[in-house]
Amino acid sequence: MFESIFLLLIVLFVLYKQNNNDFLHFLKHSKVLSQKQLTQIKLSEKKYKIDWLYQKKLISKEQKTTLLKHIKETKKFQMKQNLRRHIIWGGLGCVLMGIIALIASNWQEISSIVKLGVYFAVFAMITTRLFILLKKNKYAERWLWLNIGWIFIGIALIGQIFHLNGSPWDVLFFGALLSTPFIYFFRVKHVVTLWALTYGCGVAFGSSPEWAVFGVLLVLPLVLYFKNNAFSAWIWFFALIVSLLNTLWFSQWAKAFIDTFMPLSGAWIFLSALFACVSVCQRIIGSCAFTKVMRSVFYIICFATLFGVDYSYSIQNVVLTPQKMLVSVWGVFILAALPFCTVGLFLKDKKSAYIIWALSLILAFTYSFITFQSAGLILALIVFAVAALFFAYKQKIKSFYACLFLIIFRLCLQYFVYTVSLTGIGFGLIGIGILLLVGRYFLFHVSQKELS
Amino acid sequence: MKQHSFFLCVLFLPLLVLLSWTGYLVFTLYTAQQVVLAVKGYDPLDLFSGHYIQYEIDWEKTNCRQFPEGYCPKAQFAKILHRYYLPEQAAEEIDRLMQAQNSVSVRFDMVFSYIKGRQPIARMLLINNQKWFDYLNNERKK
Repeated sequence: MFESIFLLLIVLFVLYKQNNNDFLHFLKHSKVLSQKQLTQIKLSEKKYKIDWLYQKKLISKEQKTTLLKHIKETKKFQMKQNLRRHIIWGGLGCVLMGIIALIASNWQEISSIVKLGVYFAVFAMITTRLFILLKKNKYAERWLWLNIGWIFIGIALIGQIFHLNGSPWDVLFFGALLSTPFIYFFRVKHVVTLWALTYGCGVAFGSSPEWAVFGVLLVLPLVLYFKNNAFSAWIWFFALIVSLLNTLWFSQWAKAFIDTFMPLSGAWIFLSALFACVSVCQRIIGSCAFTKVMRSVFYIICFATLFGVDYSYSIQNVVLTPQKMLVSVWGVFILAALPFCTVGLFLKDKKSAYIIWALSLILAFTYSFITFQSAGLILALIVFAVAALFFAYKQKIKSFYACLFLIIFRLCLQYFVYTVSLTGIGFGLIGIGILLLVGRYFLFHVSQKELS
Repeated sequence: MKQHSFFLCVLFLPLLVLLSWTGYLVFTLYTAQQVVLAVKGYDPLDLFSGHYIQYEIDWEKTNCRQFPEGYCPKAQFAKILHRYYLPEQAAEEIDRLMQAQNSVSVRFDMVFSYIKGRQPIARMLLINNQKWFDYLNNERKK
């Protein structure tokens, strides 16, 4: 079941990243360069290099200095802005998961008619609000996300009330299918990519192979996106191929194969490995919007998996089955990669990141993989926390937020260890979500003060 | 104006689909023939789906004459994952009863809304021919 939550997390958290930190976007809006200069830059492969522009005398020395200054300031600002965005989406994700847990607790006191009535009334309100905003030509991304989240909640609720027998993959498929109209209103390109991935996974691993026929739906947007976003198009193409293969004959064989050799998280191991590869590629081939998003996806998967593994171990202190062992190995890998990703992201100090990564890897494998206990995971987490604290001291304040986040994260985890009831979990998650949103509010004020 | 109509249609489409789906399920639930099948199972806690009974149909204890076909349509029931969602407060108790199903004289049955050729919908869990919540209430009173 964790798989579906990972995917939901990805859909909700990650692809909010807009392309506004893109350099060309900046050039376009800062009006530092003329249209002619912009075109020349676009044609150039070395569009990110100011020096090159200067050498070719496309920009004056004054322009170069102004650009460098602006870039430096914008970069700082963007980092803070991105952090704020992640916190917002983290908070909203927690609230959403809390609502899911509350629904899962299945309160008998509230009748099914009331549950459905409230659900559809809220749905109608959200959609009406969205309609009004779009009618006024306003961009309402948050309302679009809310609508999509509400669709998924609705499917879960209806499934529970009528005791429907679908797998999480079916929920993904049906949710993605119903979300299709909203996807077209997004301005962020990678939402489409993620939608395609969600849809593709739902079709490929859903319990009804005949649903894969709907994969044909992917064709039209594929054609549209081939025009301006090759990466999205290829991902889309991949989903389409999966759908078609599933329709033909491949699905049963693929499912049997995965069930035999890669139970529980097989698909996600594959996908996450893919994301990890992309993250590594980013370091080799350089940064682009796609690799940035993929890195974020991997980053979120790390935290989600860590959360899931640690939590499942905490509440189920039982003998490990092969499935759980697989999760354990996966969790160990993720945890080992976590410092690498996070420290690298926050500090941009590759050497230190590698050292911490290697240390955590050795520790995690020694204590967790061999003994099959969660102690190794926690120990590795402590190592990371200590390392992050050290860098926080060294780099003054930048990684302080990371440490703070980890400490709060572990405390929250402890709350969930002692809270067995789903109602408690639901309220806990909503509380964390609100905490994150309130924290973000204060962070925003700090940034505003710094800017002013 | 055309654009607004388009927005209206597109944005409310998911809502309408979900409403229609719910309507269809309600209609099926209350118009389809009801069949009672003996079940056995356990309660696996799922963090995100909540508590539910993962049951198996006990065809040996099921009366196959109640089906219009005159025989048990096992293939049709085999297609579905057998889940019955329970409120958190009652799940533990029912799980305990299911575990002790063989040693204690408790019989579990599931009422399905059944239409030939369509996916059956689980309607109500019966414990000793009583609705599960009635049974639990009676037991608590004792």
